[in-house]
Amino acid sequence: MASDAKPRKAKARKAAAPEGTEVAAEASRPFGRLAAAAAPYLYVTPMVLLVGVFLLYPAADTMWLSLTKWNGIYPPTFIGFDNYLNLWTDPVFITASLNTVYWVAGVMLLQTALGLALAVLLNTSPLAELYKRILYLPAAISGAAIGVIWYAIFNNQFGILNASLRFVGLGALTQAWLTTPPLNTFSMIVAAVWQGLGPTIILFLVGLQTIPRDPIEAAQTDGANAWQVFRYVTLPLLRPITVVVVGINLINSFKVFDIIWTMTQGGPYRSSETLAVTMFRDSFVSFEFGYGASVAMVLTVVTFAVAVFYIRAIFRRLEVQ
Amino acid sequence: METLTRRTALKLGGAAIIAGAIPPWLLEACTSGGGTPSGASALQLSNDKVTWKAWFEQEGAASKSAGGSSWKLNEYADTSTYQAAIRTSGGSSKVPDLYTWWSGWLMKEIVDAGYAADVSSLWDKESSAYDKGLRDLFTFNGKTYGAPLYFGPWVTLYNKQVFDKYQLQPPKNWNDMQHVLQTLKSKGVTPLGATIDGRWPAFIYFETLLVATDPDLYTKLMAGKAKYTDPGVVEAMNLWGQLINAGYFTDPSSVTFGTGSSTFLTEFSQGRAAMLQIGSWYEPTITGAGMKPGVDFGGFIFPNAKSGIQNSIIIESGPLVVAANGPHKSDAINSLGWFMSKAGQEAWIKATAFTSARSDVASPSPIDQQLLADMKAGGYQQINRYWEATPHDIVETAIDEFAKFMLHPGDPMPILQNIQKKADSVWATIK
Amino acid sequence: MTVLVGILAVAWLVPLWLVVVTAMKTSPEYFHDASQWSLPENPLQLFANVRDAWFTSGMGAGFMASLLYGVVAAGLAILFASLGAYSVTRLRIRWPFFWFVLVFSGTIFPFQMYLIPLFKLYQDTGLYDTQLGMILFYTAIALPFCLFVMRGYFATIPLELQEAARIDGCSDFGIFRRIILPLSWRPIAVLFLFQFTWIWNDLLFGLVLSTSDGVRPITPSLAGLQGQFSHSGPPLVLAAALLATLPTIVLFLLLGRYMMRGLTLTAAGRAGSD
Repeated sequence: MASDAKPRKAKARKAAAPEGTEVAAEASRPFGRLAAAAAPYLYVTPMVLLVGVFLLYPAADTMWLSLTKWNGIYPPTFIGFDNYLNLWTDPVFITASLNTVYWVAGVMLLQTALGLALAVLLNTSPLAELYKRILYLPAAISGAAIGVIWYAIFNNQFGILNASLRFVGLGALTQAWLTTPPLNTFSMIVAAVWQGLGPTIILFLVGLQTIPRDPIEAAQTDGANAWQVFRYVTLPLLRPITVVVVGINLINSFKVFDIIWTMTQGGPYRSSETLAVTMFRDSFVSFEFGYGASVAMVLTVVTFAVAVFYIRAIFRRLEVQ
Repeated sequence: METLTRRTALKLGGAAIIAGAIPPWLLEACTSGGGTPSGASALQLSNDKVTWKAWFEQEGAASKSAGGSSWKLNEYADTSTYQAAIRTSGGSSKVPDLYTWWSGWLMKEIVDAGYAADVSSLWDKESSAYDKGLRDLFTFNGKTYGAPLYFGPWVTLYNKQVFDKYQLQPPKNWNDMQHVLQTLKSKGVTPLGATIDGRWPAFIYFETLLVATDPDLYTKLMAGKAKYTDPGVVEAMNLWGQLINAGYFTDPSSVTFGTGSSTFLTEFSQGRAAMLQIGSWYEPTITGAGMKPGVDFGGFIFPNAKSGIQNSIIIESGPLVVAANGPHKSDAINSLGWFMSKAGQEAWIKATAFTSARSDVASPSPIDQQLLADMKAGGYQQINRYWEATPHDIVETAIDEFAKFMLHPGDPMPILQNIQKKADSVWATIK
Repeated sequence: MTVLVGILAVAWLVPLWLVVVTAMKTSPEYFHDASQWSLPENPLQLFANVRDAWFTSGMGAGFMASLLYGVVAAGLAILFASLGAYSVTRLRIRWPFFWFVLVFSGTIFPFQMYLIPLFKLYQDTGLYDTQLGMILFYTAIALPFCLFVMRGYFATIPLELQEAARIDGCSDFGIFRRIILPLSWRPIAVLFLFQFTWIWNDLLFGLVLSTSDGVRPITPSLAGLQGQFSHSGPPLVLAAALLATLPTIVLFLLLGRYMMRGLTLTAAGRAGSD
């Protein structure tokens, strides 16, 4: 029988389980004890290995790359923090950072607010099932295809939007949606929201359908109108889901690439690049892998800070529950 | 240990499923130490021209029946990835035997790194059939490193029916050109196609107009022996600005001439846009839209905007390169030699309908035939296009600046200064 | 209100309608039509275009490859994430939060961070341009989110169920296999839908880590059709786009029900709420 400190688990199990179970038998053999203690770690091994080799190692390598100058042909040369210093004076980096802020704010606000509004609308609509499917459909399409489709809408001369405006006599409102900064960034945000709204709506719908009825009914009995009920009862109850939605949208908005690349390639004259696009461009178009890596690092640090803060909030909430 | 056994079984099962998906050649490579199949050596040819696959296959088959090696193709769907792959593998034994690349300064890096084999001897053998200007595109320090995969002189393609409708002829000089431009514009037809879609097309009219006003300056500028802020360049830019302000170009932010969502082709085929300055390789795309070369559309050489200058035409050509570290170097060089020969080019041109680079092989397109005849008759010197003629870092900055100019034409000086700033820093690291 | 939603739904579908209409035309027809809205002459041209698309640029092979990757990698990711989530929530493992963050951090980095070193790694190890290589990567990248969801879900499964099973003599793995997993079929279905869709739609990694027909997934093959050196007109390209989009839409129509009913994720609180 185990008398040393290590197999606490085996002891506990033994205490909980009656004699004669295979667990007790397992714990009594030395190898069994070791296996029992090691088992939890074996469960996590496959995922840790895969993520470690294919995601974390490359990320670490990119961190190293950001301190070098490398064009793919000759071996990388170490240049310390020069890349980062050059970033501060690079106008493209400044533009890209600003655009990234627009994207994060725009997607978060637009997608969350619209998603919530539509979810509320749909919650009481008879054809909700059908609409849900329709609204989710764009999320099933690839970012590249979204870019192609919305390019056809926003095109200055031939696009559907401007053509429709002219058709109804509002020709004065036509814009060069994709070639006027910063309007081009906002246009692309619209396309991205079209794609991402579906899952957001679904999440909010689930939230709306799982919050308890009692507080709402109580408020209504107290004479609160629909808006007050929503603002002071529903919204706070929805907090858990809202945090999830905002968090997901937040992290994803940092990463947007496909849509931007297919709609404007970050142009014209690099005016609609975000940090994710700049990183790709510097690496794979200009073949300045070290410089591109430093852009990626900046983006990562920001995303990481935001994400850790977000996870902590979720985790704490779970532990409370 | 029931727990461990079951989980292990799961993992083994999973591994078995995955193993079943491993392509057999990988297993072979792992066990036999890698390498190509023994016997007749098939040459590995990598490229990023996915839709040329059938043409490469035909040419490889022709090569084989001519007694040489066959070609095994490796297509990359994306140009950037392709370039990264060649750049990182060029020095190792994983490099393919043959690969397509870009000429001029884009090739220089590859040559300097020792990734390309010297094939000057092949050119010496065929020197009478190829123009010297073409050879220069692949020559560095007196040695030539590639064979022309395709040859595209830059031509002004025009809608014949539109021209006929307004009784216009292909212009032979600048006066004619202005007449054509003005007539078309007054009849509500946009004379010239222009776009910034895809980023690279922004340089098209820069090079065209500079070569049409001062080709020597263009050549010097490409080599870093002139500045973007020189008066000759400013003059060309001002000319460009005039043409834009006169409304002679399509809206560059709306028009595209790629294929996925090409709007220019619609405008062109329906007669709302009349001309496009582009490489002759674009002709099949127009044919694909239902217009016949020589019947529905034709081509002419962009006339000089100034008199007394050397007739010059922009050309474009990409090389087929033999990897210096490739596994079957001598076979690959022989294969390339066959490709350059009359027989090889006849088969290639027949398959692709490209413009022929050899003087003794006819081009299928009537437009190309006329074009080559005009080039010869006028003693046109062939100049490499902007994309490859000057260090690429300068080009990347320049096309963004040109795009700005195309969208907001005005004083060209700030734009030229920006480009020159970049050029200065690039040339400083080269010299 | 309902009318508003109705209009919205129609507006939502307009771009897709355009894609379908264009894919039903032939190239010359497309370029000669007065407007993009003109109806096609022969809607059945769609099938001819799709068939042509199947054989061009490796679309057909890409379709099968993406199918393989989507199913296998999503399945493996869910399996491994479930194992890990089980350990982190229900077994006595040290530093559960650390393991969680370690794997979850895989989702924080922008994808471009992985691109170049992975490219180098794959070239050096011979994983480049192999189906195994693609599956390994897609599994790895799907893991963090799957772990996030499964962990949250497992945490809400009542402990009593577990205790009861243990009293009956079930081992840890037995509990996992017989109780936890079956209870989790809803989030699993949701995850499968999400991850399969993501893998299917991936452009960047398919582009960089593979190149030959049969290994290269479908979305990069589609991108190849769009390129400058391509001679395919919009109808063919859009027919290819439809082909590329079909499976994810079908999957959504099939599994969407489960997703919409059971997507409780973490903070909503209850397992298996209906």
